[in-house]
Amino acid sequence: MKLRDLTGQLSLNILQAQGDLDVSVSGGYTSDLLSDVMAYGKEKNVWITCQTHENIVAIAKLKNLAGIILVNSRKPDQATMQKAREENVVILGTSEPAFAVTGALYNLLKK
Amino acid sequence: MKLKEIQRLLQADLVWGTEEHLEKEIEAACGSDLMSDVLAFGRPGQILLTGLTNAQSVRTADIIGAKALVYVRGKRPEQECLEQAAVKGIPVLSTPRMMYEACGILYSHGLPGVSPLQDTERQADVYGKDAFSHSFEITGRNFSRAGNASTTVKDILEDIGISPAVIRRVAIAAYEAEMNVVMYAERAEMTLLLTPNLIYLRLRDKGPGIPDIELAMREGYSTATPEMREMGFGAGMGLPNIRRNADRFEISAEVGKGTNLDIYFDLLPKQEGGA
Repeated sequence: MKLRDLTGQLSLNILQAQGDLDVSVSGGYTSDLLSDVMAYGKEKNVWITCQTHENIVAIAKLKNLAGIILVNSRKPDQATMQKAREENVVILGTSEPAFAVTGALYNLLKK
Repeated sequence: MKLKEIQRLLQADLVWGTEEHLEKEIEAACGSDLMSDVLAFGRPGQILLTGLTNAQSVRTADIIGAKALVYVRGKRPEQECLEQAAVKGIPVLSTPRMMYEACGILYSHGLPGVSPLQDTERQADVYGKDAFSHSFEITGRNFSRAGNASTTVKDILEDIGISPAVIRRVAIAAYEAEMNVVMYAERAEMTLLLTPNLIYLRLRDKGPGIPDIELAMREGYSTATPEMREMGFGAGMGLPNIRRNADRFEISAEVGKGTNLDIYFDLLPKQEGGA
């Protein structure tokens, strides 16, 4: 499933659109520990987190993730937005908690 | 959904707990590695799924009133953590599933997420007791003891019979305040004062102070080091969390000297039509 379609299906807000919304998503990874995502996140995964620090962009770039979903209505820092635009990392947002958005994504990708 | 069913779905080991614990009814789940996030959005009656295995995970679970802790990706809690869990009577499970799969499986079997904190829970109970006060010393950088003062505050309020909804708010505020001292200051004195209609938490720390309080109060703003973040703190939620849970909150600081927090919780129900 494309990142763009998933955004519609899960009613996500696009917080930072610069990047590839047509990338095919390989799965999800839910974690708030950056080192954990560095170690176990897989290419084209969508990363679900409540971390908003600019380092999330570096991780998404390094691991070649499909995009980032920020939960609980968290908004990215200004520096994060800036860096995400430069690095073409798409950032999406939701008011849902990580558990619910992860569950919904899991069901969607399993189909 | 019973905890036993969760254990089966996640192929989880019961690391600590009894058969009786497995019969507990679980209403919702929360998945997070950031303890401030759990403190802000967690609700009683849920399970906490986390990849954070230090003692703070158990303390956080206890403070929000979680019914069980589930460690993901085969992680095993530290010994200190298990001892805490046993003392608090919180069952501990460990699943080989990753956070993503664990949440996905439980959600697709009907376990809901946790909706953001509602103000209806902030109903204070009337109670009548004489004034009481207790002071605690908090030592900066002592992460192994971090959380001791606020869990004691919680125990005291429970013994006195304060309503669980109020205790929860006080405990969250106390815990965030204590973690701030541990992370940033040299030491502090925290005083709990109880009167028939008020709970007052007073913190006076010796430390770097805060140069820009308005900025520090902003959600998401943090000067935390990567080490603090890896411990599940420093997401810039601490001070906003305290304000969110208190009825009144005052903060002042002097750079190079220290920070003062005055946190108040009303115990009398608000007047009809009042603020």
